[in-house]
Amino acid sequence: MESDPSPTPTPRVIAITALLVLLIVALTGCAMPSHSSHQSSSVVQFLYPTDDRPLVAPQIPTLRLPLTVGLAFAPSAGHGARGFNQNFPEARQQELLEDVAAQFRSLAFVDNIQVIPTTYLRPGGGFENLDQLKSLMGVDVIALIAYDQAQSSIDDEASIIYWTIIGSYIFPTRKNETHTLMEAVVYDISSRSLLFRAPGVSSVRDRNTLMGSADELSKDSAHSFIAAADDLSTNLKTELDRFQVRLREEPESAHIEHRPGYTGAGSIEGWFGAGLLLLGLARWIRPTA
Amino acid sequence: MMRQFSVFIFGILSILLAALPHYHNALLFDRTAILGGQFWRLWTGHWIHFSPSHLLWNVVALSFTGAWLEARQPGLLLRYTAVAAPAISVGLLVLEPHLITYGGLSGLGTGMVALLGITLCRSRGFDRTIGVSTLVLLTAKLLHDLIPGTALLSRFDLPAVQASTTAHLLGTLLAVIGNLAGPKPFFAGRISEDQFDKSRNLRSRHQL
Repeated sequence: MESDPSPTPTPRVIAITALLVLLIVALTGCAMPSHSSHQSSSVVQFLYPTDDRPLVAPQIPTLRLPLTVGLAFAPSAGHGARGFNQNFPEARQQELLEDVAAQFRSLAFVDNIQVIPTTYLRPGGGFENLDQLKSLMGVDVIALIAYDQAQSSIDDEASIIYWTIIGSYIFPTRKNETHTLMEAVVYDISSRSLLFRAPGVSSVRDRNTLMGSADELSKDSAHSFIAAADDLSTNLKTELDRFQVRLREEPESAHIEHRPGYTGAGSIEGWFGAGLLLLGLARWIRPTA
Repeated sequence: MMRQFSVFIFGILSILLAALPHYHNALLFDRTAILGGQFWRLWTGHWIHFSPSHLLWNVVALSFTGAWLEARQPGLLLRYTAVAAPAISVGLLVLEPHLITYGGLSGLGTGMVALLGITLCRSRGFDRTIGVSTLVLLTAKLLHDLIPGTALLSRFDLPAVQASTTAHLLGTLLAVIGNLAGPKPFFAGRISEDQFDKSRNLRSRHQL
């Protein structure tokens, strides 16, 4: 009796091979990001959607005061808007727009703020789209708010505990990172020139279990959007102050003139009036001999 | 009496008009209406103010300056106001083609400060020092106005209203020309308080 030259593998051998393959996959997985996502809207993509389109040459802006400022979120070209709307809900978006509007409203030379619905902006609409808004809503200057959020999850070495199945529910071996950039970019529509920009950034890091990871990432995304929006508001105030200083100190950076049909007023400034009163007081205290 | 007159025309009248906003449309400097024949607006537009603080500073400064000027040069305030108010308005019509409506007393006010400064400079001693200081203060204000963008970017209560400095320059120019030009200046008073005091002192010495 001859033995079989090619014996079929025994179930034991199959089981060991399968376990080895699983171990290799699991160990390799520890060193690689288990999850990454990215959602963004881009002002550059909106204004300059195609490479073949010639870049618009900006001119020195002519600001005809008082200004009407438009506020809008830059439209997202891809599917990023879905995550943004989920994690930074409409109420929060309105809150941010109101915050930004209030800061613009505090400027002496801004007359009117128009919050522009996102539906009025086409993805990749460019300056032609802004020209339409200018005609439609009388907007001179537009502040576009864009966002860029990247999330990643990495399992650390302790994630070997996933082998136990129950460990993936208990041990927080997954490191999550969420980085968000929000920025307000302010353009003068007529001259196509960038007046200024203000960024807001946020980074959220935490650890959680494999099974709770999706929920935590969603929460992190929302927290990071809110923190970036707060940072944006703070920085916007600084940038607006700088912009006003620049207009005064560098008159060549922008032409400033009255809007046709403006209402003018002659006013005595406080310091001038106070100076006059002081001179009168000096004369009163020391009468002529 | 004349001091009270200045307080009335610059103070009480302005406040009265501020309390009657329904009349503003009929009195405001309005280019279209003026060119349509409503010439009273050349005068009345100066007494219309756009906000309480706009009114406050103008009224306080002008009532004070007007009263002081009347004490030094009786009658000067009335003559200057009667002539300069329409002249400033016509200047705005010509020099500010984009300006549609205008309000505020400060054009007249800066002119009055110029008149007061010049009048005090003609005195002696400490009054002259005060006069020179007044003119220096006025010059600083006008130079501040002339810095590009400063007036346009300055804070005003109502964002829709923009500070116009042309009226200040016109008011001052009219005061200087009217006071200094010619052998018998139009705005120069016939008798000043100083001269009045001197003649009174001389009379009392003679009586003694």
